[in-house]
Amino acid sequence: MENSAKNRARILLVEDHASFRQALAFMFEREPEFTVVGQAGSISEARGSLDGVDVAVVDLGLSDGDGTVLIEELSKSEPRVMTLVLSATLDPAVLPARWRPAHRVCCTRPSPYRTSWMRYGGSRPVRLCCLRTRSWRCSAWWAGSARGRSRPRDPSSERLTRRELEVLRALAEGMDSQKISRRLGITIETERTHMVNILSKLGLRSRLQALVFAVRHDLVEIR
Amino acid sequence: MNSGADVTERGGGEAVRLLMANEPRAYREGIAAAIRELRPGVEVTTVEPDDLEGSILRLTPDIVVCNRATSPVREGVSVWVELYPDYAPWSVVSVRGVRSTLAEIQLPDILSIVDLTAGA
Repeated sequence: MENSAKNRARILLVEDHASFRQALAFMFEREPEFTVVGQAGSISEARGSLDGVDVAVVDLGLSDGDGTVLIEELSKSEPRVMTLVLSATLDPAVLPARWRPAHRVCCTRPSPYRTSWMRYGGSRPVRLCCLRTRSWRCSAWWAGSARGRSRPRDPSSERLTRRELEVLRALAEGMDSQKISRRLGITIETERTHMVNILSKLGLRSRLQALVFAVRHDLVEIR
Repeated sequence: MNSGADVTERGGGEAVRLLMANEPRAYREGIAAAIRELRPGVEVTTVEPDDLEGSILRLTPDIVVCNRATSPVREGVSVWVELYPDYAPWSVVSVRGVRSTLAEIQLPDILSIVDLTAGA
């Protein structure tokens, strides 16, 4: 599915570990839904790269200060920009105290992984999501959802069966083929058949695209 | 980013085996995903740090990327990268016993290490 430049979510990556930032940028750029318009390794670099940004993915521990400083600046100067926080801790105490009362914490399940992604929605109600079992893919999901949350339902989605919608919902919970098949009581082969049919009906090429599409068109609910 | 030539086979025609066991997981999976795309001939495996030593025995990797190069890594793998030990900004690279510290390792640096190993 082609996506014109103006429909892509424009992403600014603020992360001081360059190898990860570059890998993340490369993977975002491979997806038609996103375009990386800037990369910064520090708060000072990020301040010069805010023009035209839809989503800022911000590491909290930056070389010249705390990423929360940048996020607060963004929420005042660019309130429409959605911010994703990348943190190596699940402890809400890393966030400024004034943010915490509005947080709703969603932990998917116990996991040893220490990576969490949090979303700070500026003046809107804040939601803190600890996606402990998800890989880098979750960033794409949230970025996609940030730009297109209010889009109308796409007519092609009406062709999905109840079972296919169940597969999409499980996918939105971060499940892989094995877990989805277990949840739905079907074989992995059947799950893959459902996924192939979903992609075909929606004109998509990957599970990630299906996930973004589902979130954008309210086919799944973000928990 | 230019993926460059696919030079990911070693002299004998075997694919280069890269084992990644660094934390956090997002770093590991993100960098691994990019390498898989940019160097499709490389066998990239990701494991939890706790599984690193067993995976070295099982997979006999050519390259290991981890946060802390323990004895099994230093003694059993010819090329390793200590990526951001304790979340430090620097990384340590060892290629056949020659060590260097990189103040800010880039993704192309890691790709160069893969290519260097492939060309050995």
